[in-house]
Amino acid sequence: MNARERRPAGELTAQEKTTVNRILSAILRVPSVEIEGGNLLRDDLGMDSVQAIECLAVLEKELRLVVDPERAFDVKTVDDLYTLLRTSARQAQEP
Amino acid sequence: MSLRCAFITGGMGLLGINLVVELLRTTTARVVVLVREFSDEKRAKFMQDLRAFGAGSWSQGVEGSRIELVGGDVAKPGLGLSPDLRDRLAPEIDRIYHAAALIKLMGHEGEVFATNTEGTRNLLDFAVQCRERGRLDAVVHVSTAAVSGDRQGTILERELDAGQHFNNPYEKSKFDAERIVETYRSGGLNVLVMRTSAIVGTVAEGTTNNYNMFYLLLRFLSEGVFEHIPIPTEAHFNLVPVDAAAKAIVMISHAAHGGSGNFHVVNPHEINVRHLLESVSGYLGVPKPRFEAGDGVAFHSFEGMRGALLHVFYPYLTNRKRFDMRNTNAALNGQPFEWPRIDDALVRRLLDFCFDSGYLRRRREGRHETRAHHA
Repeated sequence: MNARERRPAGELTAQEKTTVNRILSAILRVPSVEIEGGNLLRDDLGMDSVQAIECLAVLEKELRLVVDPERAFDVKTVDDLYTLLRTSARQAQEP
Repeated sequence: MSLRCAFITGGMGLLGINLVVELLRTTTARVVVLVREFSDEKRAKFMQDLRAFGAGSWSQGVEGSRIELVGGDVAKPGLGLSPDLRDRLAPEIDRIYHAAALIKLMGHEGEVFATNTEGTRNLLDFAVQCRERGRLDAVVHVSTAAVSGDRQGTILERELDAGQHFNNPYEKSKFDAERIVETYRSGGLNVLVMRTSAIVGTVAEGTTNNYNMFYLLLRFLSEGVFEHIPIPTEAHFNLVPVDAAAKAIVMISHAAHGGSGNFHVVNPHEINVRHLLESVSGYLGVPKPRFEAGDGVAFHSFEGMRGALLHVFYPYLTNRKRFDMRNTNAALNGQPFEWPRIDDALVRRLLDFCFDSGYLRRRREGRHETRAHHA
């Protein structure tokens, strides 16, 4: 089994932000161009509890992060989501 | 005894609506359905689901004469019924089907116990009134095979408390509800406990109006979030299509003649978990998870959000329990009933319904896009 090495959290790259918006768009069925940082995930974008978990699980996989489930409760807006992902530990890339 | 009036809780739910269908189809009884936050919209939704699950000429015009929807809440004392309504209904009810439950494997702990445990107590109090004032012969209490918690091996129908621990508050709430049932049985109330396994959509079409546990698993599998899951080779899933479960429960309740007993309403035809996940992944067009055999899984390689999710599903993915069905088999003996086989074709029908309903989103690539070519 490959050891997983944690790298410090850092800024999301532009590509990663695009990935986040793409995944939000696909799961919430909202056009990507309509997703803005200040959007409330539940009230503006219609996210329900299952979609919230789904988004975080998919983003965790796509961005190779380790997201603390306890911190998910604090995520209310898209900007909050960026912050959560930005401050989550990254997994090392597998060889 | 000819059933004249059945009272159902949870009638808007997947199993509940199918119990209504089955009672309408096989008896001449009037069916009274307890609906929480009753409204015109809920009535319309109920009738829409009734037609979706019970389509057929027998159902034409039936609602006006045989179905009564009443507002109430199992989580409230007296089921939240007005005194006038309670006084009118109690003498009329022959049998109660208690299917109301909150199936949440994550969070909502307070609501889960309020609905599942205290709700059962409130329901049984009402049942006692029905028995004292009228002709109630039995309560049919829909429970779950998961009251067995973390037990393994063979689970007997007559067993409840074997010192097991529970994987989530839902399982504990249903166990506690059965403990309450035992108390009321001691007081002379007839209660038939139906412990079902995971309920899924109908046999022929995969129709469902609820997307609990098994469907949540499908949802996350469809996103490919589970890259590897340690699963014993012999682990199996027990799935019961809802129409089969409803048919079995109603048949058993008639055959039991108002007595008491526990019944495992589980499918004797199970599906291997690894095979199921491979089959589902293939149809969804996502890489299948890697399987690593063995118990005592350490999740150090699977942390964060996905690790938390896997913790929720893991007890059900590694199930090796066997459920004794002696009472169920005796009650169904000689009746026109067959347990449906859970094969790849049925699983595909369940998935196709999920795509059509929008519960699962279609991808641009993937074999499920070619589902029209499947039989």
